[in-house]
Amino acid sequence: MKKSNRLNVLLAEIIIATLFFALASTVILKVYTVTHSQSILAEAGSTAQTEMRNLSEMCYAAEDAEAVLTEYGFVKSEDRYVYNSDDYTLSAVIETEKTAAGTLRTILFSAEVMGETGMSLPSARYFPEVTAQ
Amino acid sequence: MKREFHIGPGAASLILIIVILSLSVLSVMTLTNARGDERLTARSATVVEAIGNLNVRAEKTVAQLDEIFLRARQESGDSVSYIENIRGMLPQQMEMKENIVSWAETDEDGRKLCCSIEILPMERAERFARIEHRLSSEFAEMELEDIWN
Repeated sequence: MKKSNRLNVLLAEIIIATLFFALASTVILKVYTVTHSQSILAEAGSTAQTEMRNLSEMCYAAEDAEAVLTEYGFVKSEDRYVYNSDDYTLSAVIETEKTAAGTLRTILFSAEVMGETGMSLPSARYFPEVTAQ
Repeated sequence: MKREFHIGPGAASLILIIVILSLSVLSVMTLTNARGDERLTARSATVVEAIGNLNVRAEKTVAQLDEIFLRARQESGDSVSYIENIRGMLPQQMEMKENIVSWAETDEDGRKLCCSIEILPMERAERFARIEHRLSSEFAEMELEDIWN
């Protein structure tokens, strides 16, 4: 009789423990899910940023920035060049301004990570007009 | 003699508490780490954008300077008057030593982009050559002793 009572108490404790574990694991799982999505967002943001910096340098070095962007995989859409990746979208708007002594080319890169506009990177290069003496 | 192993009342609760505590601590640590990554990415994006803005401003200044050089070439007859004309046309915040023009682009966070260009002789088709484009911050310019104290 005494042994049976002890087993019942143990069984009840295990049932309560299992229920509590289920409840607690639901909360903990939720925290892990949020963490995972935050981690993916941060990684995608970091990758997009690195890509933008690389592109900015490549465009600065090149005389024909449009060719660089097209070669990279950008597609021209209205007034901007757009590059779609799985996690982020990069866009570049090229503007050229003629000055009295040359041309100033400005490119504004912006990244949209997981549907959110996150960061932008302006880049410019001045091309002096060489005049014959 | 064989000893029987019994699980007493409370053992399951104890194990449960340990498991839940461990999982909670690990999940909080992972969350903190992910938030740190996110903050770092956001901060890095701000810094990159600020540096990009400084670069753009520097290029715009180069464009303005080139206009000055072009105007000075049109108005000058020889190299001496060319350099003197440029000296007279330069904006106040710019420094000119011999044929080197230096200036700095700064932002509110203490970043400083030090730029210098060399004015090329009038005989050359190109009017200038970039010789310095260096980014520094107030922190980098502080003395080590100041940092430690």
